[in-house]
Amino acid sequence: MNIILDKVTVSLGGKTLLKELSLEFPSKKITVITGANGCGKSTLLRTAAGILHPESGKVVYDDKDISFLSPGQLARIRSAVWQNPGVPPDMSVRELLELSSYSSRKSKEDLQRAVCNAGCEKLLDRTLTTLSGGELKRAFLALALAQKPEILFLDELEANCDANFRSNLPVLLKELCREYSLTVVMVMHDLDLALHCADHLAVMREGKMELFSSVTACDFPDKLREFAGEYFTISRGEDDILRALLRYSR
Amino acid sequence: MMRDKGIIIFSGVLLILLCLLSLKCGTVPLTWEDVGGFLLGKDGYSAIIIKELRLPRLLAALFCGAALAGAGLILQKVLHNDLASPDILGISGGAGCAGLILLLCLPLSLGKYLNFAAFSGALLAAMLIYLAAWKRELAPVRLILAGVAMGAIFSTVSGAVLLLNSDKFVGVMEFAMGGFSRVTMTDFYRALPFFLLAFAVALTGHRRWELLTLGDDEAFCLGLPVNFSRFLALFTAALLAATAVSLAGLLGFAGLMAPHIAGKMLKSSRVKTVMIFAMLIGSLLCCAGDLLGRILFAPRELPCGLFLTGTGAVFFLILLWRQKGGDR
Repeated sequence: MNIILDKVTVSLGGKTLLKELSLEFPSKKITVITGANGCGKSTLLRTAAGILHPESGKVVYDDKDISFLSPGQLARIRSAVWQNPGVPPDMSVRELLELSSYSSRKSKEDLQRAVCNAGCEKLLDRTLTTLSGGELKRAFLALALAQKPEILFLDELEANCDANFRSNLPVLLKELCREYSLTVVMVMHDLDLALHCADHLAVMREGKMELFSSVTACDFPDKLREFAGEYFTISRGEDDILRALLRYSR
Repeated sequence: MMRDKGIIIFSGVLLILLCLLSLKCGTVPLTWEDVGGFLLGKDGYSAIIIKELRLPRLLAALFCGAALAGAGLILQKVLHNDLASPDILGISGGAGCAGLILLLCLPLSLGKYLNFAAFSGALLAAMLIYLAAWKRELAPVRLILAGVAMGAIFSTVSGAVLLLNSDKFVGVMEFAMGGFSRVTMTDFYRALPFFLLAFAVALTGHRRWELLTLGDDEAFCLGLPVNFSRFLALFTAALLAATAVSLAGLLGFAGLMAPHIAGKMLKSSRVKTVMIFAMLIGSLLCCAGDLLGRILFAPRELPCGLFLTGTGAVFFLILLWRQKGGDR
């Protein structure tokens, strides 16, 4: 399922965060949105997920304008993992997963599949407050997958997670994309990790899309150097994947 | 799971024993045979005492305790604040203020409309809180701030009404403190449909309240209409609190204590389970407070609200002491 934003303008607190933004997130691909703090990445993600309503323009999932869809209908199409979800004390992972049945009934097989794909089989009886950052993300990822979405939104999934989780993230995302035929749209700060995960990369600046390209496009490295070259050294790694190494000031 | 079931069953048995004790004990001492006879439908002097005096207040204590506990739990879950309760958010204050105005400022003949006045006051408070807090959405922090502000306003108005009618204060003292001595079976039957409606909405909405604890974005992505659900929670809490205030006056702390006790004792965090147990605890607290008020200084009587307030203060001091000691 593809996602189209058509001249979307979003303002919050009197400030225009997105101005007449038009773009398309390709179907069944992983698109990573990156950019400096405050450039509008999370605003774009929340607008595409239907949480923020644009003051003009529209968001369309496969010809359906989402402003006409109820929360329940939206929940059957897309799911999300947010950066700082509420963590109710004393709630176990198993109890969390049962909440996925609010919009539509989920079978035990659906939940089991989500648990296995998110890699949290051993966490089911643990309470959420006892989980590490990476374990908590896996639990909420399982919740998102349990909804059997066609679109998955991820807001800084790698934030506050250890090296083990981050190093396995590219493989995990690609497997999920294949297993669920997902369209994935995610926000990431870590450009190097983004290059490992993404099929398409979007770079934002001050509410506008400065770059939107497939990572395999011939001119992509040059374009990326143009936007990120001030702080990153862009080069090809041994596995032919582009790398972005942060240059530290001395 | 089994442990939680055991705790709930044990508490239920305790409540039944307390109810039987409430029917037996009082200014006029009765025997267990008298209570048994009443339950079996026998007539007589003791049956009249139980039916006309003790049963109405027992039923009121059971339902009011459960209602306030339910209201407190819903508000705590939905507003992400363990100190949220109908009294702190001004809902009980609105009901109480309306009741005091009716009892002190209007003709005595209108006293039978106390239920209606309390309903109106609580629902007015809820609407004012909603309107004050609304800004594109119903954020929990804004609701709490609006609720505390409304509570202060109603407290000010209630204080003014009491001071300006100080000669009539004694007559409404129990309403102001919270108690069940005025309750008749007619009052209870009048309130019963509202109790049942409010309990039904509170219990059937348990998944909504649970989803709201995950935060607005997560709840919305799982299919919940967030603003409507939060409004429904406020309305349900107001209905529960209003019905309780219309029977018992301003009972404090029941809505705050019972959810905390229930949450600490149970292993499960499922809202439905905790709510049912919290309602049980609320009923226990009110029944125990009413019984103690009747027997401790018999033939004089102290209102239930005094015991709840005193118990609440001790309860929170214990919580504070346990927190300092490192317990969570």
